[in-house]
Amino acid sequence: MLRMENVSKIYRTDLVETHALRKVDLHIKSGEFVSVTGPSGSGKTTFLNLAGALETFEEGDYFLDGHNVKGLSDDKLSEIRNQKIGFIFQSFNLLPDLPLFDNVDVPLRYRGMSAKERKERIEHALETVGLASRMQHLPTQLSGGQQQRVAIARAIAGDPLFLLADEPTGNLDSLMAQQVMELLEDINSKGTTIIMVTHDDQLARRAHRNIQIFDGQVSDIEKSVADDVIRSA
Amino acid sequence: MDIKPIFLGLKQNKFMAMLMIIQIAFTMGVLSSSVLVATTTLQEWNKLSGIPHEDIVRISPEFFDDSQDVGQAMFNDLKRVKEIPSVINAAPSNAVPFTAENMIDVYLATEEDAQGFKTVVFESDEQIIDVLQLSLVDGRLITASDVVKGDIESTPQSAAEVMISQDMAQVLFGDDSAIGKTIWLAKNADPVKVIGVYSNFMTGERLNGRGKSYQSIIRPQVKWSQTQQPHYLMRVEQGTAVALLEDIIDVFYLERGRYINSSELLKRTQKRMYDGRGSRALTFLVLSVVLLIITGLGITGLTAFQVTQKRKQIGTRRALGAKKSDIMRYFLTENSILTLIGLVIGVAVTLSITFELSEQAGQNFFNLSVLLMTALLLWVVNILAVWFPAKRAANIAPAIVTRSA
Repeated sequence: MLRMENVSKIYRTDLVETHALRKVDLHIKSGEFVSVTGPSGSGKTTFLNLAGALETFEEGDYFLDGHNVKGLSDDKLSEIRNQKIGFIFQSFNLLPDLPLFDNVDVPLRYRGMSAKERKERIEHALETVGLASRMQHLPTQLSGGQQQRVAIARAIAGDPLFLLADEPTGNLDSLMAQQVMELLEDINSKGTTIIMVTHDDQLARRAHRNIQIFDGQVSDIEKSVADDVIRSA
Repeated sequence: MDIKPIFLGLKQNKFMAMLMIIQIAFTMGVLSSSVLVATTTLQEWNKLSGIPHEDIVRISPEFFDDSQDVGQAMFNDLKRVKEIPSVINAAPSNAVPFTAENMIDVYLATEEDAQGFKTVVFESDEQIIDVLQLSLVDGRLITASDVVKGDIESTPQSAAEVMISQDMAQVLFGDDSAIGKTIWLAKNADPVKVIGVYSNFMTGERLNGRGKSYQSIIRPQVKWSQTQQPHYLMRVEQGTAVALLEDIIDVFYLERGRYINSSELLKRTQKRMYDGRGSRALTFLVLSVVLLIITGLGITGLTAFQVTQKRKQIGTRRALGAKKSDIMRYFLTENSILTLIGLVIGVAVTLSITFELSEQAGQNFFNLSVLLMTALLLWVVNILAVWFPAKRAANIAPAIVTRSA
């Protein structure tokens, strides 16, 4: 479903060349729950940006659903983000001017769905995250945990190929973090692939598989080994 | 483009939206009113004078020696000036085209509440028709025997017959023939009879402003006093007016006891008539352009501010699948909605301003096509004003969403 082959990302300025990712080889199968960990500055965000088609890269190939993403136009990348990826951000990134219904509606509108289909999907997504009764509320009227659940609803409403979660519990207290994590696990159990970037070891351990990034290099560790690695890290 | 999210966004940013609407409405009101007044004024420049003004010269002499015989001097003046080669004809006249001197109200009845009609009365002799190259439209021309001449004090009687212009006839009598009809040049004056109708010529600024450029009357009488002498209007051969002016002035200086108060080519008199209003129109237009630029910059500033404020939101939209063109369209549509509301209010403001101005000036300034063109211009300026910050917004990288909040 998601395959990176020899992917490298270099940031260049006049004076400095920074190798943010070095020759990443990675394969994530459909239905997996993968955590991505690594210390600050290791390249986690760069990995997230590339996996999410938020940034382009110079070297290697990145296949999403069998199609190479490399070299695609900005418009094509927008379509891929819109149709194949559901984003969940650390700071939720809800649009403050729009009620929950319309927040969830944003990616669906860009997809050009009919109003009827959008409405069904939005209601279903908000029901899934337990906020169907608050559709007309503004994000500012919700707690952090609730806002993140709306962001999850927005991410799953379009039925994407995978969810890309960037520190989804990073701004939440432990109770709310627990609820959000359970929600993600529930969504994953129904077949949705999830890639979650986190530096919370406990959360990382709950994934099927852990990918560690150190100094721009990825080590892909199966679940059985992952726990040991995380424990010893 | 779905406009619901835009409306929802505007609902949450009412102050900014109001600010833009007020700015656009104010600009539309001032801009279109100015353009309407200016274009109406400038359109008058295209009005025909009705006379060969480039070949007519005016001389206005004035006596300072009370012992001079003014009547004799006038006789001499006309005789001498007509002897100048290239001078075709000359006539005395108490009024001059383009200056609206001697503007009065003319009446069809003498009752207290009788309606007055604006006009300019030209008191002159039978040569005035030829000097101004007027043509006979109806009735007959005035003749030498119609002309009442004499010193004001010793000639109390006035001419009882007049000619009127085509427009004057239309205003006074509509489609009926004016010939033989009676009019009053003042409510308490003796009645005068219309004997002829001549082709229109422009009387002057004050009547132009009221859309009554061509309402005039020619009364066959020439009167003078010791201190008061009519102007002289002289038609010369085509293209010789400038060269002849000095010769003509010299002839007038042959008469003793007076000086030439002023002399002018009617071509310049016409230009002078438009100069004031032309400057006003130009000032209006310059102010309008300045206002347009300020509004454009204001809209650019407000939009740029919004873009800066909403960088993360725009990045989020991009991450969720918005193309650059979607972001551009969002800002352009939002601006168009505000512009449309502003324009509607602005048009209402314009209508009330032009209505008021039209009432005051007695002239209709309203012109739908000019109003629509102005609205279109403002729209285009607004689109341009939003274009650059919108372009900047569209270029916000979607990866901004993964940076720390």
